[in-house]
Amino acid sequence: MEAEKNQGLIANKKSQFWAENQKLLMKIRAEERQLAVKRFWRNRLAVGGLVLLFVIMMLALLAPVLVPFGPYEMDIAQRLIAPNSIHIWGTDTFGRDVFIRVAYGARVSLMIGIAVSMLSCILGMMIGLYASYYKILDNILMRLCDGISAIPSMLLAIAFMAILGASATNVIVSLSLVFTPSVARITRSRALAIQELTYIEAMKSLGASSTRIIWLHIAPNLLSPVIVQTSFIFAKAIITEAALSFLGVGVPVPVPSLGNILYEAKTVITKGWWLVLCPGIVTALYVLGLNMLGDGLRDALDPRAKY
Amino acid sequence: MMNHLLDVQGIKKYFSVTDFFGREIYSIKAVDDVSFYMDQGEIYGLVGESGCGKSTLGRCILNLIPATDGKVILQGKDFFSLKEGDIKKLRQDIQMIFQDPYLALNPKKRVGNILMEVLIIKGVADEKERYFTALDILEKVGLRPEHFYRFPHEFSGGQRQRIGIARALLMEPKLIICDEPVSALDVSIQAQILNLLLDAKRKMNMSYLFVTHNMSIVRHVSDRIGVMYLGHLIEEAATDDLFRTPQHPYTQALLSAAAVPNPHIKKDRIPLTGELPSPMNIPAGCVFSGRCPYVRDDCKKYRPTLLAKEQTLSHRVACFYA
Amino acid sequence: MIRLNEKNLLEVDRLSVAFKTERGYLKAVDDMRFCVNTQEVLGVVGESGCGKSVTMQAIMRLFDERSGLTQYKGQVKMHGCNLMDIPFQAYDKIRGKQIAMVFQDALSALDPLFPIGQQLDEALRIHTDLDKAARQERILQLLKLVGINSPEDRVNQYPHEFSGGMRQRIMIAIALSCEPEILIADEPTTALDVTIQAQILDLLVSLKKRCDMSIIFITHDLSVVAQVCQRVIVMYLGQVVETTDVCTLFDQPLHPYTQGLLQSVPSLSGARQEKLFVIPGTVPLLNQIPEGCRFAPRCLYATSLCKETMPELEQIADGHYVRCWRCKKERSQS
Repeated sequence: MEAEKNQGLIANKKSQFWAENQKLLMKIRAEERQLAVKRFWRNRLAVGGLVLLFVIMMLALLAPVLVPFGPYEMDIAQRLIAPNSIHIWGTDTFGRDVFIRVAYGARVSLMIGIAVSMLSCILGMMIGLYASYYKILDNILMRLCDGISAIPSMLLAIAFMAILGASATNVIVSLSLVFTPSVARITRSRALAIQELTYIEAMKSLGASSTRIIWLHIAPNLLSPVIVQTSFIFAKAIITEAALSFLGVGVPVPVPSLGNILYEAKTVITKGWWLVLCPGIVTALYVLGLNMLGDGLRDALDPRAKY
Repeated sequence: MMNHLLDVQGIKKYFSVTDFFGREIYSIKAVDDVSFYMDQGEIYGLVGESGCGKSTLGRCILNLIPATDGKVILQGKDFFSLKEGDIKKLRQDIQMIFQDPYLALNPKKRVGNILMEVLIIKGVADEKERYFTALDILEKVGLRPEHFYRFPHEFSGGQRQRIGIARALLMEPKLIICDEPVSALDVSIQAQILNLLLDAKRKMNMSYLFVTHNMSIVRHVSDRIGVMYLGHLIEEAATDDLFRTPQHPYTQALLSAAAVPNPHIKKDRIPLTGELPSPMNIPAGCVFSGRCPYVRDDCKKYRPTLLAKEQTLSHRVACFYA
Repeated sequence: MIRLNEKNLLEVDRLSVAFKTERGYLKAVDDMRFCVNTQEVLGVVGESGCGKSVTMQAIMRLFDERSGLTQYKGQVKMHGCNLMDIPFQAYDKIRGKQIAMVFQDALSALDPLFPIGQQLDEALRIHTDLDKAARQERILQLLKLVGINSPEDRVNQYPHEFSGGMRQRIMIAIALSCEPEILIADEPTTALDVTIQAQILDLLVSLKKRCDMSIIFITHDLSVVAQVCQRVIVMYLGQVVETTDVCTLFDQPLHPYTQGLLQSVPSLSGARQEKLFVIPGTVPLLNQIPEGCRFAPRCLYATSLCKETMPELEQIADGHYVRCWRCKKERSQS
């Protein structure tokens, strides 16, 4: 009886201790998050990038509220009018409001950018990690990546789009294929270096499975360069998509994208400078903001630099 | 003939350097035909200078590096020829502590999680049980509960080494291979770590294969000592025997060169001519023939094997004239 | 002021070095006092972070105080004149010529792109007026002096073609090239094997006589100190805590830190597998230096006096200086 009561008391105390420590862990994690955020705010470049992106995204989201026109509404009587008080950024060859089209185009570019960077990040990491861990896979996978990256990205993208046909989804697929090798290469080289380190050896000596070692030990330690590369890919995806659409093989009209507004404006550049300048500036600012943000994220994510 | 805890038979590790077409240009014989055994509760010191292959040998025993040839028999089972599942089980019985405390821990994981992960691999299902076991071992190695959720970079070298030891102890192995565990640490921290290891030995009947190049530490810690030179085990004896009557000329030179913390003892050093030959250029015949002060003609032609010379079977030497 | 005899080659008097950090100046070295005689090997012992390397780098003026990031106080007198008075720009004349330094890792201390002959030549070109032929001859002489055989063949080889011990010898040769009066050796044998370490130590001791110079030998290895040094200073957290000749240090260490260090080292004689003595606690961070005696938090004999007031480095016995209230009390009692 006595022993049982003691056991009960000990178990109680243990549960209490356990609960307290879980709370402690939450507190520590919250503190670290706060520190990371503080560090992030100190990086003016990153904050600038974030602000820029925020502005553009607000533009994209709030545009329908600010402007009474839809992106597909044509008003032939009002075509090719320079920026004025009704159409802030003027109208295009079909009389559609440029501002709202650019705003929708920004949304499309955002969507494509996110999808491409996520896909190439995940795919690239998988390829890089497994190639670095299993020597047999290394040759096959890396030669494949070399082949893809040997062809200039624009040409390759165009070729893919020609095979797949023009649509936003196909743009995402082809751009992901084009950008995956760069992520794979970085991942692989970092992973190779990390595998030489002692703690990986220690995990092997403990009998950890390969999957555990690859995803729980190697991968977290190479996230920093991958994240930076992903933000660059995001920016490149936006530009490449704009270029593809500009050439007519990207997002098909009439769905607006930052590139196909330029595509439609090709013939009337001299008569409508606003058709080039507005989407151009938005694209440039998008890319600038993303690059600035990428640098900031990399600094904030490293738990080693704590002050 | 009872089962030894660890029976290393004829381990060889050759690294081959190939040309562009895959043909071998030369091979680096990092470890060449090393055999010895260890029993439960024993500390075996492995000494030698850089390039002698002691670290490589340790890793070959654990199969972290695949050995070119040879067998490792752990508690009666042939380690290298086991199937995947059995290897994993046996791996838990033999652990390793590494030299560099700064790289031995994953910098992105909290200390507590590193320790709890060991228990996940071991198969402890209950999260709370893992937590309490990990906390317990953390205190046993001299750290405090508030260290549980910190990252490795917040600790000093000595503390990190302790975490590495805790990780190895958590597996409850029969044998721990210590690869120069204290070389990177300050003198007073070395003492703490050595005390910790000896304590674990007394309490858990732990066995160690202690690899080092420091003679005073190996003497303090080991029951038996093996001396390696250029990939070969050239002498093996009980500690007191080795230090009192070293028989191989290299061991004698090594002991005479080792500095003693006593200014009144001015040693007569046995001078060793020349430098350590590069492992790509190992002399034919006895590996020590290039620098041995007593070298004779057949030393350069034939390689001596490790044999017990005297009545005591425990003292083995690889020399024709010892 | 420590004065052993009038032949003091180098006197360091109340040297302190402070580095600028976000929270103000942090003193890495405080109130350093020691001196070196002619043809003497002085050992500087301490654990990592005690400031031994920083002291030597300060003597070599490797930190530029003009940037404001480093602050020096105190005097370093050589032949009576204070080296700290010499401006940074003019210190090149001292470095390499009167005081030379040998580092721990020879591979990174030698430039991998140049053959060793050229690296030796460079030192000679800066400090001497010898013409090319004379320099070549001197280079071969130096290589022979440090024990490198057939120097004519090896003079055009690159650092990576030499082994660790050889590279260390080359570094010593470069340091010796302009005949310095003081050679500072910063852990020169820590990275070397036992037998090579023995060779290098023998070399240094023989060079001391042949080149008529003194050596300041920094190390954390007490066995090496016992073998090579005549006098020793023990450092803790940027200060000298004890200094005396080597035999007295090992036979009668007075400062509790020195005693603790000596007891932590396993000896080559004596009982095996015994529990080693451990100095309790850990070395505090430089921005958390305790008030009073810096060793007090870890000292077994600490009193309230120790925790409040910093003891001075005082002479307890002939040539034996200790920074400790307890030792001072015991001396005044006897």
